[in-house]
Amino acid sequence: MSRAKPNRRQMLELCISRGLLVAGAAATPQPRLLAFWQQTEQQAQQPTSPDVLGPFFRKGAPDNRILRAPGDPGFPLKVVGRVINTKGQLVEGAKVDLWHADHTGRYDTRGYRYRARISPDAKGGYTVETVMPGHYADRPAQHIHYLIAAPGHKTLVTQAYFATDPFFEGNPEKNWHKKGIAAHKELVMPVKLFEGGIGTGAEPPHAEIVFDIVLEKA
Amino acid sequence: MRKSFSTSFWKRPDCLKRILLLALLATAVLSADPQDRTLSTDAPVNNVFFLPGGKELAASWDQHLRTWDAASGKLIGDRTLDPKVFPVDAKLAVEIKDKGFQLWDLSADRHSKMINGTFESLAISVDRKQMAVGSEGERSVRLLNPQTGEQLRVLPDGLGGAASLAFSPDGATLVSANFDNDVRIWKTQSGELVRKIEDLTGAMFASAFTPNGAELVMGGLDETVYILDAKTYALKRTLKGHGETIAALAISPDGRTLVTGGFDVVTVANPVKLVFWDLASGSVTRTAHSPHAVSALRFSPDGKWLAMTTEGGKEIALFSLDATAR
Repeated sequence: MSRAKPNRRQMLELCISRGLLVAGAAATPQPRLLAFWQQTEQQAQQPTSPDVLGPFFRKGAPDNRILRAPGDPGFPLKVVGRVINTKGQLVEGAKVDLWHADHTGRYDTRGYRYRARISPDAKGGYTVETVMPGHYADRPAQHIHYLIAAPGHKTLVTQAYFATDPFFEGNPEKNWHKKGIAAHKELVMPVKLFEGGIGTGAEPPHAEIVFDIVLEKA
Repeated sequence: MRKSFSTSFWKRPDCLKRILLLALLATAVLSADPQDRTLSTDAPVNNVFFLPGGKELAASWDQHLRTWDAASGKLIGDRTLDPKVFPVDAKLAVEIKDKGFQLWDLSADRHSKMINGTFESLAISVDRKQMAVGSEGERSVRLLNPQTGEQLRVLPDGLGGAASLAFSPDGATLVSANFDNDVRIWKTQSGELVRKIEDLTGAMFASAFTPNGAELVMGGLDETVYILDAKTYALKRTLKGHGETIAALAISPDGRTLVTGGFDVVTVANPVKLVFWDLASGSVTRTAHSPHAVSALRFSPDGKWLAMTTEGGKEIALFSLDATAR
C-alpha cells in the first residue's frame, strides 16, 4: 500500500513537527518562515539550457554593443539580459560572445558584422542593439548564438530564439522542437514590440527580448 | 576538288549525313572537356568513395549502397541497407541505435559491440585500425577500434564539436579542428596533446595530411588554406584565393594537387567553386563550378579522377586530372 508523496510544504511541516527542523526564533510564526523558505528556493535559478555552437562562430569579435549600423536593413532589435549564477548572484569577469545572421540569413564570415564579445556591466547587465536575424535554409528559425565564459563557471554555449518567429506557427509551446531546431523550449523568448518615436529621431520602433544567462559553477 | 567533295557529300543518303554530323558534334563535345562526367542519382547523395584498386566507386542514398565502374559510369552493384545505416566507406557502415551506435563490417557482415553515445564527425585511419568520432555534447573525440567497437582512448575536445578530423598517414597523429576555432593535435598512442592552435578566427571545416605525412593542410570558414609542417605544426604558408568558405579538401595520392571545395548560400552567393591547386607552387591550375556546397571530395587511388558530391545534389561529378593538367 503506498501513500501519496507529501509536497514540499507538507514535508517541511512534517520535519518541524518531528523536531527534525527547529525554528530558531520563537517569535517567527511558522507559516511566515515556511513562506520565506519557499520564496528563497524559488529565487534559485535554473542554469540556462545549452544549444549547439554551429559552424559560424569566429573568435576575436569586437567589444561592441551597437551592432546595427545606420541604414542597415532589417527590423531593429534590442537584446537585454543579465549574466548571473544559479543563486541569482552577479558573475564576475563574464565574457559574452554573441553572433547572428543578417536579415537575409547570411553570416559575415569575412568580418565581424553582427558579432560582438562584450563584458556585462557592474550589475551583470548587458544590452545589444542589432537587427532581427533572418532565416536560412538549413536552420529555418531565427536565432542568436551565445558563448558565455566566466572564471569558476562552466562555459555555456546556447542560442536564443524568437516566439514571434513564423517558424513556430504562432504556437511555440507546441512547435518549439519542430525539425529539432531549438534544443530547449525555454530558449524561445517572448518578443516585446515598441512603437518608438516614429519620425521624431528618438528611439526607433524595435523588438526586444530579455535573455538572462544563468551559469553553473564549474 | 573541294567543290566536288562538298557536292558529293550533299548527294549522299540522309542517314549517312546524320551519322557524320553526329560524329562531328560528339568530337567537338569530347574535345571541349574530354573526360569529366557526372553520374546522376535519383536522390540527394552527399558522400562518395573509391573502392580499393580505384576502378569502382560507391555512394549511398535512399537506403541503397550503389557501386559503379568508374571508367564507364556503368552501375555494377546495388545493395539495400537497413534504415539508420550510414556507410563510412565501401567496407564499413555505422548503424545508429537508440542509445548509441554499432559499426558494421559490410564485407564480413559483422557488427561491432554496441558503443554508447552520439557523434557528429568521424574519421578512419589509413590502416583501418583506428576510428575517431567527435561529439559536441560530450565535448570529446573518442578513438575506437573499428572492428570491435572497443574504445581505445577519450580525448577532451572543445566547445563546439569537431568540424573536421584527420589521421596522419601512419595513424600516429590525429587532428581535431573544433567549431570553437581551435585545432588540437594528438598522439594517438599516448593521448598526449602535442599542440593546440588557438589563433585561428574560423573553424577549419576540412583537414588532411599530405600522403607523405610531411604537411598538414587545413581550410574552412576564413577562406584560407593553411599549410603546416607536420613535425613542428608551425605554419609554413597560406593559400588565399579560393574566395569563399572552404567546406572540403582533398590531396592527390602523389601529393602534387590540392583541391578545395566551397560552401554555399548562407555565406556567399551561388555558385560554389571547386579550385585545383599545384600544392608546391600554390598556383591555381583549374577552377570549376559546383551547384551546391561541396560535401565530399575523393581522389581515385591512381590519382586520375576526383569524385565530388554536394549538399542536396543529385549527382556525382567526376573530374579528370588529365583534363586539369591541360
